[in-house]
Amino acid sequence: MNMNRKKILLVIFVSFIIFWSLFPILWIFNHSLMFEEELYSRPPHWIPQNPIPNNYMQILGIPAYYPRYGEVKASGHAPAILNGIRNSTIVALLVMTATVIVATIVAYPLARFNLRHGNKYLFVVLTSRTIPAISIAIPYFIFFFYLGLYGTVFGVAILHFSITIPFMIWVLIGYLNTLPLDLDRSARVDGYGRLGVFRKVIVPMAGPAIVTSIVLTFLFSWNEFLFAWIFTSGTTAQTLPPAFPSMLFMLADPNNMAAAVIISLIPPIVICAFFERYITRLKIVGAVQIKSG
Amino acid sequence: MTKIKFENVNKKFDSVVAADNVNLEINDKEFFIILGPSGGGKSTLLNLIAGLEQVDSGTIYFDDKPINDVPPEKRNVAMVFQSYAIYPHMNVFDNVAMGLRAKKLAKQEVKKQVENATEMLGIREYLNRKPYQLSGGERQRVALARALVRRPDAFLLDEPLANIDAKLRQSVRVELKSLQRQFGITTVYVTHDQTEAMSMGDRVALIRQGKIIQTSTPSEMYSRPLNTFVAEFLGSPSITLFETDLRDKDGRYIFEAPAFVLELPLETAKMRNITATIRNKARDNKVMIGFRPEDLAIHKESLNNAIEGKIYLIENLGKESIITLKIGERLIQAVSAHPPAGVHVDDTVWLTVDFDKMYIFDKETQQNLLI
Amino acid sequence: MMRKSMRKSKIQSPLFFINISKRRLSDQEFGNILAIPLVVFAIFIVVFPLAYSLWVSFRDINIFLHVDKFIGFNQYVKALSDPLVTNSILVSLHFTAEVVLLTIFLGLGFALVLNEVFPGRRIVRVLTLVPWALSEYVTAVIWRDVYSSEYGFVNGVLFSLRIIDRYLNFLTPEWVVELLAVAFAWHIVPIMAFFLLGGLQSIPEEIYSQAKVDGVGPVKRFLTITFPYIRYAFLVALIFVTFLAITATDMFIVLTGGGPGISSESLTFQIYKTSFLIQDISYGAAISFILLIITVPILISYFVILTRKR
Repeated sequence: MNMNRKKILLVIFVSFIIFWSLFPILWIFNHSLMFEEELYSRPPHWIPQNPIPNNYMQILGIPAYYPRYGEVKASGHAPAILNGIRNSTIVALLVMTATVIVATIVAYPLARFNLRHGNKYLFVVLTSRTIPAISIAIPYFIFFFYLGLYGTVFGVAILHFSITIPFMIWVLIGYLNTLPLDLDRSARVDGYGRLGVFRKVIVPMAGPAIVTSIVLTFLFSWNEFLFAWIFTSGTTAQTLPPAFPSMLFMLADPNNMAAAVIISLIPPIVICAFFERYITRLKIVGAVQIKSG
Repeated sequence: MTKIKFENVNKKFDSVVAADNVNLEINDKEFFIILGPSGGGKSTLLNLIAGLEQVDSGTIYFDDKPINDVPPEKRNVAMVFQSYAIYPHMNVFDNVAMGLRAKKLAKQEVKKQVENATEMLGIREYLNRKPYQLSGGERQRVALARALVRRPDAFLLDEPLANIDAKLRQSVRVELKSLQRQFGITTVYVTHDQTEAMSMGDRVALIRQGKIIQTSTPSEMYSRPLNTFVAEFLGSPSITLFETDLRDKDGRYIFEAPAFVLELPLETAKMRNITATIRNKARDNKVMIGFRPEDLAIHKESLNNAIEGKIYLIENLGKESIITLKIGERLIQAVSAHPPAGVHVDDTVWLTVDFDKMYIFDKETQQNLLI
Repeated sequence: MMRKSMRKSKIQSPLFFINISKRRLSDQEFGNILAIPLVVFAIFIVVFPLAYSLWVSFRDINIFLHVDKFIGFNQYVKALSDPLVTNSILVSLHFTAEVVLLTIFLGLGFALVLNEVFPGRRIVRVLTLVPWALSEYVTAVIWRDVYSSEYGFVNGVLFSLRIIDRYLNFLTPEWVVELLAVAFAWHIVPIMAFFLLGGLQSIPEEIYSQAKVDGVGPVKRFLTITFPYIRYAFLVALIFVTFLAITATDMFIVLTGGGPGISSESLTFQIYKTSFLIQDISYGAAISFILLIITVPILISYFVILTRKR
């Protein structure tokens, strides 16, 4: 087919792809900048007429005064959102820390020593990533109930580990396998014991993989819905994701909700932008599998 | 500085035998070469010395002390890997300093030693560079500096010249040898290249499939190989072996082959003291006789007690020529500093052999009958 | 040989464990000790819960009334004859089939387009990843807004184009699964697209040039050249997508809550509802094992293909 026709087709397709990928987000973003009345206008306003940040302020619990619209009260859901942000951050940090420590320690011998049970360990790592979240939730519900962990950040964090730890071990082992064993051997001969090799060779060299995994672990925990919903909704430990269905059920202002959605997207975007060079350096397609929580 | 001794060492990887009842003694300050075909177990021996592998049975001694249970970090040996194993995330200074820092030396001392070592190897100006900014040869020097700066008891090298350009190999060979002499460290050097072994080694151990075939000085191994394998391994171009029937015809020793008949002059036999051996072996026994390329002379005229052949290829290398000849169905090689004038491809020529240097091996056992 | 038997008797001797701090650990021992957290993890977080869940499914439990009696396979029999459960299995299969079809179609299309060279390709690729970067529940919230019968995007577009004269409710029992499938496909198409893109990029350009010179038409080029190269990546992505679709839960809880009525109660939603809304834990556990029975063969084939490579 001739070049011009191909170019035109390409433009059409690429435009479609961009549009398709972004339109729902842009739609919500629009709503987050409108007052409620504008929301219901038909035909809809594709661009907000008077974009104002009132929804963001409302949902974050900050009342405001606009000369045109008068006083704007803070949303009743603001505490849920603010607490949600706080709790999600706590959980995410807990999960991040524990996962890094456990995963790096476990990945080291699995990747670097020829363990006789090595394959069995790998099998365990693989299969623990394949269990649907809901299947674990049921027994844990009973456990936590009796252990008093229901409605705590620790409980949710433990559930997150069940997914992030095998994931990070898997990623680290995959990355470590690309590093020549001669580096370990050279350090041994130079006078370092096995822990010394871990400290001075393995950890520094696995830097990109570790950083990427930490970021993905944080994002996973921040975005995780099911466990958070079952184990923290309605409690003081409620994280951010469960706040949304509550808002839906209690008929919150849809514009406020839109603002809340955008707010919940900010930390992931910021972190991704910041760490983008590490993530692209890694290029592990399996890295995205963490979302299958 | 150390003596290294292997006593009845065995090592197997699954079903592959890497070390088969290995007994070796490496002397203090010696430049010892472990030579052999690929996969023969050479690197395994090096790993066993370093402690990166454990023996299945047997003992390894450093200065008569068994070190089987000593972990690699405590053995005070230095190793240069074929890949150099330079840490990519550290600059040259930190790389070279690795071993010294493990010993917890003071910062000033570390700096001094590293600067000295890199100065000696000519890479001092690269101290701040990262490995990816260096060429292969420079990286090797970093690996050498890292090893030597520690003043180890033994120095292990795994095929160091494998990744060096052919042209540079000669100068790196000289340099390695002089470094070793300068530092006086017991060195164990692994290679599959017999030229390196011949030119660098104080002594050489030839290993094949885990078994040490022969251990001696290079010249010993060249002129008195224990069997045909050793004879064929050393020397380039390789030795030519002919399968012949040895006959004793009224006190004359005749070697009969399909393509020729040679008679061993009795004086030569007496001078070499091999009369008894040959008499025992004669009686229609099959033997392999061997001639090195440099012990074959080419003649345009037909001669007695010579081998007839056809010129197949002439390679003029400047200082000498390698002439490939077709004898019967085989191709063999002769080397001559001054090839006979007027000889061309497809000419029929006659080869005379130097009976002083003839090798005789038993056909069944492949053993050298003349040792 | 002798050493091995010596080693064995060493372990059996009680002194072995006492000496462990004094002597040096072998590489195997060191590695196994460091791997202990993994074993602990596996037991506490995988084996134990699943085993307990299985045990629970054989009983009738109510933690509030402290009821606990053994009733064998009754829960499973009940589940398989329960119209709610059969409905949810059908919903899940319906949903999965549509998601898979949509994802293959869109994913392949996107991959082919993204494989072309054009200015800004890198940015477009990053943008294509955005739907996957969002979490499932955010996707659900956003698409609720898109489908909304009062201020939705779909309604807005149709109304502006004068295709409809008033806003409609799209989330009806007939269409709800389709709509959910579109929303979920939006979320996971990037995975398929990038798996396939990876496969496409491994195809050497010369093969296409050769084929074009030989006069092979575009469709035939795709079938005979492109597809064999991406077959492996395609299979892996396909199984992964299927797994995601079958185990999707957030979508159903947040976007439709299983409704209207029970028309969008997936199997996963059923498990959630039974265990946590109705609080019939043992019944829920039984249903969750039925889900496991469905997902395990999928995963086994996933691993078989993964380990068999090309």
